Amino acid sequence: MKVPTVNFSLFGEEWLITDYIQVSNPQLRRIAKKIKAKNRDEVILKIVEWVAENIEYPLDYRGRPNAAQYAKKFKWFDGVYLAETPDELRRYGWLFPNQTATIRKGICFDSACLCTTLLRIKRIPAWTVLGAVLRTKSKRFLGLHAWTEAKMENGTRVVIETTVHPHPPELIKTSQIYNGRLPITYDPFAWFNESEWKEDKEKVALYEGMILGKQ
Amino acid sequence: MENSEEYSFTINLFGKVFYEGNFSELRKQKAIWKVFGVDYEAEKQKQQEIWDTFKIKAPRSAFKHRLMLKQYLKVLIPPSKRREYEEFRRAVYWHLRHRPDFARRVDVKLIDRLARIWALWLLIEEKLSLGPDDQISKLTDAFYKIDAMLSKALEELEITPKMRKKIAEDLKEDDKITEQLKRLIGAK
Repeated sequence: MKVPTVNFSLFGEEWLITDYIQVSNPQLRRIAKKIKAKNRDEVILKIVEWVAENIEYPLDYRGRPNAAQYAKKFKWFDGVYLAETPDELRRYGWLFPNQTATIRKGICFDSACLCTTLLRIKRIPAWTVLGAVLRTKSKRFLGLHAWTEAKMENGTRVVIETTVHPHPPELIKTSQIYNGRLPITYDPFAWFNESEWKEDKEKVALYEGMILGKQ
Repeated sequence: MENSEEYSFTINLFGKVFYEGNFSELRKQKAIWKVFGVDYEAEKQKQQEIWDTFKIKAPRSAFKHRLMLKQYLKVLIPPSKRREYEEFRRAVYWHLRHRPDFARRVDVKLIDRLARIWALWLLIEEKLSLGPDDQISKLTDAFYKIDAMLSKALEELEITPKMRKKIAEDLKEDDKITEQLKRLIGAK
């Protein structure tokens, strides 16, 4: 399978995008093992609950999203924490799910990959989705985003918004949030998990032109 | 199955927007949180309160240092974890001050982890006792670390039910001794 690489992880090293779904990681397998449920739908709900309660969106004391690229690492007591970041250094390096689970903080991509990983460990069809968020009425572009998509027992695909803490968010059918039935619309253009990668090249090219001013 | 590299427009775009700092993350998040019922202003206020608590000038006496430490932890540790945290913290104190051999017998990994946590506590208390303002922001970071470490230690060390029971019994015993000592010295 052909998959892209990512070179903006915490220390700028290079990984395959599929490496961000760590289904073999012992720390995450231990977390997944503790989540017990009777059926697939209940597993999904419990994992959503776990992510909402245990992970925080990293805001600094001024209420601005903080940047993991500026995190300091202290190996001698395996602690990583987020520090205040000057504007000129506000680069965000993607975290691996086990890093997110350890520091308990992460932006959309970090928490989405953690959620997808836990779902995949439980053998539930799930993907981390990369896309854009738009205002439904005005179609105004708000920013790039990542979320988790999972398949329920009856085959319905749902969007899991993983940046909502500490109360778990409602699961929203993809048909609702992708088709403009909410005040904001999620427009997906890439899906992946530990064994799949798929992207809508035409759609992403349109966004690239719009965001970066290219033709 | 072996994977091979492929160029991706999506990854390229995310890299440029996120990594090169050209992103409006807050605007997007505010819109999402509004739909999902998250009160951004309350979250911002919470972070501000944590920061403000730490900007208070460190008091000089050891008693006040501990009081301030407690106040700070009260803001920082989520209510659901607070009782467990306090219990664990007391266990750390007890075992490292009085019973290192016991902890070593029960779990070899435990003593190593507890020792590191203990070292950090000592470091924080020492810095607090010095009290200059410029140390305060460093302490904020230290508390984030200890918070993450304690949560991790609680989850990962897998303290067995037997061990928990033993710790609880030891702590009860410790309380009894303290009470006896208080009575002996006539303290209330």
